[in-house]
Amino acid sequence: MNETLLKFSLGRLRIGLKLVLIPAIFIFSMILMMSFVISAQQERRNDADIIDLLGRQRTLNQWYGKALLVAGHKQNQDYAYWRDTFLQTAQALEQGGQAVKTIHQPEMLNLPAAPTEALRAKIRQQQGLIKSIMALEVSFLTLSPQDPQYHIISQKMDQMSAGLHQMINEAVRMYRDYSVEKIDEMNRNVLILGLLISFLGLVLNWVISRAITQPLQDLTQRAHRVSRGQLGGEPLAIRSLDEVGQLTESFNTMTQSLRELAQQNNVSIKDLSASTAEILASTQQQNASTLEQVSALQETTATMEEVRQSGQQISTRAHEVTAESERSVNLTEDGLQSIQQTVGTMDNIRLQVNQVAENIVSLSEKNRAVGNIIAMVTDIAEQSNLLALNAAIEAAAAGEQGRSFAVVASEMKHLATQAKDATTQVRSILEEIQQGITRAVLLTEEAVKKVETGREQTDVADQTIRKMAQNTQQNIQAFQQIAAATNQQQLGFEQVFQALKDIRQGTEQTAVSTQQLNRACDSLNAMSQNLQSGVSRYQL
Amino acid sequence: MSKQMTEILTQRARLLAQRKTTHYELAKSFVLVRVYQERLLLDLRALSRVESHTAATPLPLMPAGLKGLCYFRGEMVSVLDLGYILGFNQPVENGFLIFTRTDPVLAFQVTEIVDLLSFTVTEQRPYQGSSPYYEALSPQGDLFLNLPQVLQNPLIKRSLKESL
Repeated sequence: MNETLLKFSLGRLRIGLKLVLIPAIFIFSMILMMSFVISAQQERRNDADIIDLLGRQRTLNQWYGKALLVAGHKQNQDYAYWRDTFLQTAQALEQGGQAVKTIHQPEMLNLPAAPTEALRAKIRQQQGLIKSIMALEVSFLTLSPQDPQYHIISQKMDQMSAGLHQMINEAVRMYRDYSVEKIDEMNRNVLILGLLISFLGLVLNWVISRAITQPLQDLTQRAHRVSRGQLGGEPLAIRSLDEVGQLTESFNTMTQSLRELAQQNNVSIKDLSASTAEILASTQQQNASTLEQVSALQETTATMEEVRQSGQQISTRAHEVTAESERSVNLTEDGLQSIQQTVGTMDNIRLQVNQVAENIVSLSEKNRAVGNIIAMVTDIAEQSNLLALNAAIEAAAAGEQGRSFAVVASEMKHLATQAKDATTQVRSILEEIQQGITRAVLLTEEAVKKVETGREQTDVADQTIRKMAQNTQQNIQAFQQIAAATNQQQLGFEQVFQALKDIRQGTEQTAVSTQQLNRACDSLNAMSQNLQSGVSRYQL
Repeated sequence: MSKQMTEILTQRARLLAQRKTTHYELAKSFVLVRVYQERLLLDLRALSRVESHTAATPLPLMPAGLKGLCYFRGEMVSVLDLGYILGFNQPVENGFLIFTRTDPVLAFQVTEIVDLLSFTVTEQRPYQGSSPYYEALSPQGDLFLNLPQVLQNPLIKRSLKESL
């Protein structure tokens, strides 16, 4: 719809053409007005000729009358020329046609018909009246000036000539009025036309100016919004196909591109920030790892130094151990003799432990016998207690006489209670003794088992020491080989030590580079955050 | 004689002059027994004998609370469950027999003989409960059994009647 309107409106014109159109319209209006004025002036110019011819009719009438009078006196006079010119002019004025422009000149003037019916009637009356004079013409010329009829006809002809003169004046006045009316009409039309053209010019000027300025105002507002970072909103409507329309379209494309660019920038900056953070984290981790590597290399170097020194010591010690091993072989022989003695001692211990176990079992049986005796004593104590209670009852029944006996009964009961408590304590102690005996029996049994185990282990130790003696011989040979291998190992350690120094220098350089990279990542991260804050100003 | 000694003798003389006459009450002996969880005090003068539990011979169709009969010092004695008489709902098993100084003799079965104690009258606190079988409380909270009132129990009266 808009495109259709654009095709048939001012919108399809270029701004230059629009700007040219304004003075063109003005010039066209001026030409139109001038044409109208010239046309009207041309008509008024014919009016002057017509008025002139109408006025000339008076002269022709006078010359016709004068020539006719002269001819009446019998003098040769061409009165018919004046009459015919009059009639020819009158006919041309009434119906249109050619008329003599100048008396006695062949130049002709082309006239239009009389514009009004009243004027045409007036001209026809003039023609009729001059034809009436022409009817009296023969009679007048035939009469003698002394003839009384002569004067009568002469007077009549004068009267008719005067009437014709009057009619001519009226016709001139009528045409002059008509001409004045036409001039007024022309002036009025010129004024109306001027106002109309001016109004149309203003309207067209306003429409063209608006067609140019309105899109520019929209563009200006949108440009202000874009300058503030507001890239959102619908694109501007394209109202014309001119340069402003192209500018609007380009502006919309630019805004869209800016929005897409800002969005891409936003996404890219977020990705950049995330990537920078990851790089920073990785760099920091790498930095820490590198520092750890440096530290580890330092430790490794130190360790290698220690290992190298240890290797030297191992080499030295290997020789010493070889000598010691030879001495150990001799000691192993002594150990075997000691093992034999230990076996004899273990047998004696086993016999003694068995005797202790038998004594403990006997002690346990005696303890149980004591427990039975204590149970009997407890029963006696309870019976004594009951007996004391019954004695107290009897004492109470005896009244005052039994009071002393009640005291004795009370003391008996007290003693029975103490005996009962004592037996309870003894029973408790006996139970503890029984538990100790039980534990001692268990320990003794375990001791017997351990002695047996010790005997077995002693046999194992005997075999082990013999194997050790054999192994020691093998170890002596192995240590001699170790001493030789250690010397070769020392050479390898020297090479490894040098390589570790090189690695350490490289790692320290890597640590320095990593720290520089870390600082660069910090800067990059700061730039990313600044860029992100800058892009966040755009409202998409 | 020193001055200090003089003052001591003077104060002692004043205290002797202010001392009031004290009436000592005669303490009565009681045996403290336990029936279930309840501790009871019985007047020794109302008892004739205390024995460890002797199996009582049960009788056909004998009433509840009567444990049976036992032979004691030439006569048949009814053995009664003191806990049942006092309103406890669990029977006393084994324990001791307390023989009363009544005619005929009765035996009460109790769970345990705890102690032999003496109390004066002033040491006994009045019993505030509704049971007629208790007459006072000891300072330790043990109940003094009103044995004459216990002997008025219908079961005991019937037992005494049947014994007669």
